[in-house]
Amino acid sequence: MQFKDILQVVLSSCKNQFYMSIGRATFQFCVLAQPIVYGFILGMMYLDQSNEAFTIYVLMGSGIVSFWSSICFSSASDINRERFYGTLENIFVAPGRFEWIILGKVIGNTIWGVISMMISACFVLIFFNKSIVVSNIGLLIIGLILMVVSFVAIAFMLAGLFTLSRSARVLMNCMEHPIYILCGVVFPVEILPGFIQPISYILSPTWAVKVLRLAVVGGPLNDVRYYLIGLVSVTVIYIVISALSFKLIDKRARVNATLGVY
Amino acid sequence: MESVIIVKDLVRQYETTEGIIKKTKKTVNALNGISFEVKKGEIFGLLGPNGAGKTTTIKVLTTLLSPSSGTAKVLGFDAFGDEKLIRPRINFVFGGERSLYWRLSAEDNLKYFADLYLIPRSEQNALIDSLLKRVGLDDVKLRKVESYSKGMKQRLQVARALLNNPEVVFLDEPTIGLDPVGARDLRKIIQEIAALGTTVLLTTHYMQEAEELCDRIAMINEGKMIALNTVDGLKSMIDQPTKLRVPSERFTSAELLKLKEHPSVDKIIQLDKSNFIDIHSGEADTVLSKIVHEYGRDKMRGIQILDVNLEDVYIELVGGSHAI
Repeated sequence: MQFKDILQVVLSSCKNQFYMSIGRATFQFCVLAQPIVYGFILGMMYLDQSNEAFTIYVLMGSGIVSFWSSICFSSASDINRERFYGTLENIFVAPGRFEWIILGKVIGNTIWGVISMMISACFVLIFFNKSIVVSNIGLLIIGLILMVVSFVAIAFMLAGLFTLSRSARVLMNCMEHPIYILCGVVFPVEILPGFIQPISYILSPTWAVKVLRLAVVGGPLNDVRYYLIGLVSVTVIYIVISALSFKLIDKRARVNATLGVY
Repeated sequence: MESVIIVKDLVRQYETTEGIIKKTKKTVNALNGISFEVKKGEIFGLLGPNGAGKTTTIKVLTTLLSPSSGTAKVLGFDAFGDEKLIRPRINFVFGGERSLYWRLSAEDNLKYFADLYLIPRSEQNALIDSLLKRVGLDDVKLRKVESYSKGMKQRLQVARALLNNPEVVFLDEPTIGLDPVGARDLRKIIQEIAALGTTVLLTTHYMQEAEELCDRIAMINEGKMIALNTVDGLKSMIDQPTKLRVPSERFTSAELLKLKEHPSVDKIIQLDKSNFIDIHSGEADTVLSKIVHEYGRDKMRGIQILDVNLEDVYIELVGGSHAI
């Protein structure tokens, strides 16, 4: 496939996903209303805390939680939805390659995820009217961009793996909330029991939160480097796993008959 | 003529589980070693009851399922292993209303799939317009698919399957659930596709449809091939060319047994879950005369003299009747 073909497939899939997703009432709630709920709950919890803590765990935390929710929901649900629509088989064998189609869908959902994050941030800023602290705006922008890329990589990897399982919806529900606990999104990872913490560090949201935290409170350059390398490394691992798994998926999904509803 | 589809000793097994708490694995044989070939440009029918293995066969050939053993070749390539060489050259329609995005319009559905089939954007509009015209949906192309009737959705699926100008089209029960007019429209479209030289592999439950469309027919049951021939070849498997179809409530068992003893009656069969009995005979007129002579003209009401058709062959081979 030439680059222009890949671009055609990814853009078309992205556009299709963008319009189709928002047509569903559940997704509308997930993207438009849920960020406000998350922002409100976390805002009330951290109202009396420092401006730094409020910025990290309310402004960014609720945004990340909303973003993750829409990404996680979409990557698993969309595969399941395509399976029940009967379109999974059509896109699976399309010459445009399944992995590029899925990437387009993930990007389509990511755009909504970013919008969701922005809704959450706007609500928190307007409703609570607290002072927001950012000590390194450059690092904040880099951190946010890397976090979005990393979430795309996770969703891409999960969507591929969900193709192999007809229990995708159950898996998705099992995955959504543990991330809030494990990744330090709404409280620091350090207060988790020691034996759980290694799991946190194989999840890219943990590293993204660390980078964003440094952008807010500041910190030594070595820490910045360390967390950025951590975030990039974990993201690269996700991309490598995705690339390898999509090679296997073409065979395994046909052997295990997981493409249709039989 | 060259064979574009070669199926040899094809076996497909599924693993399934039984029980909720204590689960036990069970292997189900969907295909038990079927073999057939489809020639280029042919309309080939696969007939069989539900669960016979028709859809499984199509899914293996369309590279959606792996075979457990045996050979499945399409256009000279292995369906499991050479799938990347097969996929751009084939397409398929599965029966029912699925396989489309209901929230999109017909035009947007086709544009999306055209992108996925790597059809250049510059060619898409003309192609999509011509396909929508061919399936009679050009005047409703901007309407969302969710507002379409079942027949319209089926026709849109056919248009989608023709986007890449496939050399082989697989149609799995394409007219299922359609009203007679919708089914007739779709059959006409299938004939037009075949007339352009496209090979068609079709599964259906409708015998009349198979008889009208197919050059050759394979009948399968419980994953095994039970017959393969032309329509006329299959019909010749029934000894007598005609039959009398009589309403079962008009004859007592004793009357039927007496009729069976008549030398020109070959056999009498009761169709399962039906109110009719078929009397197979090479001399239907003679049998009818006997009925009139023995029981009077009133007994004739509702009796039809019919040529043996594909349904008789199907019932003979697959079951669905019992001899009296």
